[in-house]
Amino acid sequence: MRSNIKLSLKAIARGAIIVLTSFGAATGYAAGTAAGTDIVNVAQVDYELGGTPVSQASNAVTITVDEIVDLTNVLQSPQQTVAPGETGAVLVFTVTNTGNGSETFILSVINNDAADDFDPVSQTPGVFFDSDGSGDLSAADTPYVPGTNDPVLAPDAVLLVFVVNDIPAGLVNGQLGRSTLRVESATGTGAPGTVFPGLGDGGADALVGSSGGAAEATGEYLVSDVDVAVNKAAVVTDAFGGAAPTPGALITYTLTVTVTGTGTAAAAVINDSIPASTTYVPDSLTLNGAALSDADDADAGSFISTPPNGAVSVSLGDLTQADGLQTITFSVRID
Amino acid sequence: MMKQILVLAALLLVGPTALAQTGNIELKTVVEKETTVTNEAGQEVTQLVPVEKVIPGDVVIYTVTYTNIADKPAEKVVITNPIRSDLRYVRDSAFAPGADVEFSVDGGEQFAALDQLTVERDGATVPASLDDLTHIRWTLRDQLDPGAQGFARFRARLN
Repeated sequence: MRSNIKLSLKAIARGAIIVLTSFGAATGYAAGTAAGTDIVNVAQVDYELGGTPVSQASNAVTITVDEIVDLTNVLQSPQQTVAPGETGAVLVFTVTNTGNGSETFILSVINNDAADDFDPVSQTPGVFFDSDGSGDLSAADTPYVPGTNDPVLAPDAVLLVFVVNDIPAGLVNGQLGRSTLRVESATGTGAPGTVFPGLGDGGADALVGSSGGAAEATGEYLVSDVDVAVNKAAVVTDAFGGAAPTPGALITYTLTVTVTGTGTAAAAVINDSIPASTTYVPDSLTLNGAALSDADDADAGSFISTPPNGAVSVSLGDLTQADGLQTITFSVRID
Repeated sequence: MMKQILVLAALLLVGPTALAQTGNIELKTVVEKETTVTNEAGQEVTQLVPVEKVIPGDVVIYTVTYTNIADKPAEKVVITNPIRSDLRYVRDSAFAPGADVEFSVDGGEQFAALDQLTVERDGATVPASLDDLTHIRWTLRDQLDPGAQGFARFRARLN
């Protein structure tokens, strides 16, 4: 009986193979099962024939995971305020491989937007990778040379990219320039679902995902030659009700700060030294009518007792034209 | 001589797998995908077509067919199929006329109904999720007579 011999063989080996498991590396990318993975399935049947236990395996069926080519490209920088003729204005982008295979990407900068007011001028090189992981463009960062060091990203890997442009001279307030980083899959681009046979990881097919295999993100430069003007006026009051600058007379200074133009005067600070032969009147400092303490504390103002006569300092923060006139007053007494 | 012994040893090792398809139960597995096509009458109909290539998110259907080709009935027939970690069982998709369905979360050591299974997670015993399943098992309620056949089927989504 042919089948009886087989049964005994199976019975011997059964202890060794309880349940046939499947083969292939187990992976768990958020982007999905890794491209090129073979998923092998073998079913098993156990039964008794005439009281003898038998175990058999089925044929194996295999499905292969194709590569999905997909990416995102996201601008990280807010609108950049720039001055006419400024060089090295940086935009930051993050490029993420959202496919399930290792993928090479090709980067390019597009500055000829037709709808903006001016075209930023890409530096050479004009694209850098954040090689040192600092998040900022620094000397250690690697310049991108197309065709030479096209970035290769594993599934889910994120690349920080800096785009560096110069701003043309001769621009005026309020002009807007756009700069676009385009990132393309080296495998190919096309309508979602486009198939590149055999070009996926491990020889699998590559399919273009919902991104179309390319992603563009655009940053903006806004021209501003913001101007901060400070005007200083003094009023003298002498001990006799007059305005004679005699010893003991009080001088009240009024500083008016005006911002004109577009853009922001970032972290503006007004420092004014106390004149020679005068002494600061304690607690006389005000900003827009509100008293400021002399201590270097939470409020915007302080008196700094540096020689010879000290100085007052008022932090005005980020100022724009919309903030209007800022008025600072303080008093000194003539020695 | 040595070579022959080695060959024999190899045969013993692979025996159950290699000989299985010519055993007393013919066991065959296919993997397919549902495709909607429009027939001649203009109606949309769903067909199962063999699939070799998949992408994450695809749902595939495994069908195991069994036929008793012996001359006596097979008893206590149990079909077991692994659920790869790359695949997630589609809830309530297991189908096998005349069989009870159970699952395993421990590599096929123990089987129970889906809502009875638990796993250890972060030091706590919690109900098993679909991701935890490692095997599916169908136990035939009746013996399989000579010449009788049946099938077991389930769906899984590629992670």
